[in-house]
Amino acid sequence: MVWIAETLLNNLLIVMVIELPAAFLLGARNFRKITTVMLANLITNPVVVFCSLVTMLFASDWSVTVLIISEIAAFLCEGYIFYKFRIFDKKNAWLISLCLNLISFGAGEIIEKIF
Amino acid sequence: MKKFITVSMVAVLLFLGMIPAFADAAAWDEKPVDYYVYVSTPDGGLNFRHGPGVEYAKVFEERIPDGVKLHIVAESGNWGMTKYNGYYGWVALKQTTKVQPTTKKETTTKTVDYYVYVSTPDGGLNFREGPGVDYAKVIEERIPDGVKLHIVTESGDWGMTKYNGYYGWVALKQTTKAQPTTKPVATTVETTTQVEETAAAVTENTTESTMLATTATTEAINNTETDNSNAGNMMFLLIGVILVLVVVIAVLLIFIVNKKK
Repeated sequence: MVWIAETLLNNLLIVMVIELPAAFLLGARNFRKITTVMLANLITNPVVVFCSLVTMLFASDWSVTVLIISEIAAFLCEGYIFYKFRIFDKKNAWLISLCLNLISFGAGEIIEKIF
Repeated sequence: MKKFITVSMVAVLLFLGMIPAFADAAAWDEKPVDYYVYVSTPDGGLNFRHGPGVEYAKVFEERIPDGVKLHIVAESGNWGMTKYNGYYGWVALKQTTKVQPTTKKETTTKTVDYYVYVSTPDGGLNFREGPGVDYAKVIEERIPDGVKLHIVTESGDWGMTKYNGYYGWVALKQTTKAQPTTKPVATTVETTTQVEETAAAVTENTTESTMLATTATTEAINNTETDNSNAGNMMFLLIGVILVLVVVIAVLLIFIVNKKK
């Protein structure tokens, strides 16, 4: 089971490395905002990866469905946090959440293909 | 804020509710074995999966090519657990050919059933794939002093045991035999007697007697050994619980960080 913990930590690290600079560029330019983006990822990413791993292990036919549902849930959860705590403009909170999640998901897919 | 906390708590509870279902699905009956097979498939490769069945995902996309020798350390039905390219996984034993064990190995391997405590001069015991220092380590970290291990097979000064869900071998010289407790003793004695009788009945064929004795003992042990068989599931639950705690702490931290402002 150690490999599951390693996978969770690696994924979280990759997402942080990608999303935090992206969030900074998109307007999260103080400690409060960057910390909130980081914590939002800490809430969503390990849960998404864990659900995805568990589905791959025990119900591989459902892995794509569960991945899509959990990614949408992560986008909604992060979007709500950004909106609620005014991390970005109210209008842009959901859009930025979607962008950040798409960027990290795409980067994750590319990294997986390469390695 | 109340709404947000309520939604978070519902999400956490839902997630907690899902964990036992996943953990139940993770349970399968496996018994420790120790033999080698060659991959021998009709279509040139063997799938390497996370669990003993085609419903489990593949560890690697590529197949294990024909002719590769694999060390089977546990069995579940027609599936065998092995290590390949540094990862543990399961292969369909129907698509393999068993390697005939060498005489030397047969005469030195015997079935046992006792517990030992790890007791080393340097604070840790290596956990290897076979009975000798020339075998690779199953896990990189050492088994710390004081850990109680269940020895099911002996080969010279080495004992086969299960640790963190994996089967492997430890140097018995670096362990201290545990005194048997009252209740398990009765089971242990019976098991050992049965095994000795079984082994005595088939002394003419060393290979068969070793295999029978191993199977009989391990099956009997598995009935009484609930702690070890559930170790994998407990680890899974533990990771799930840690995740939930991480989520709760992160939610609280978000409120703290944003309250300051």
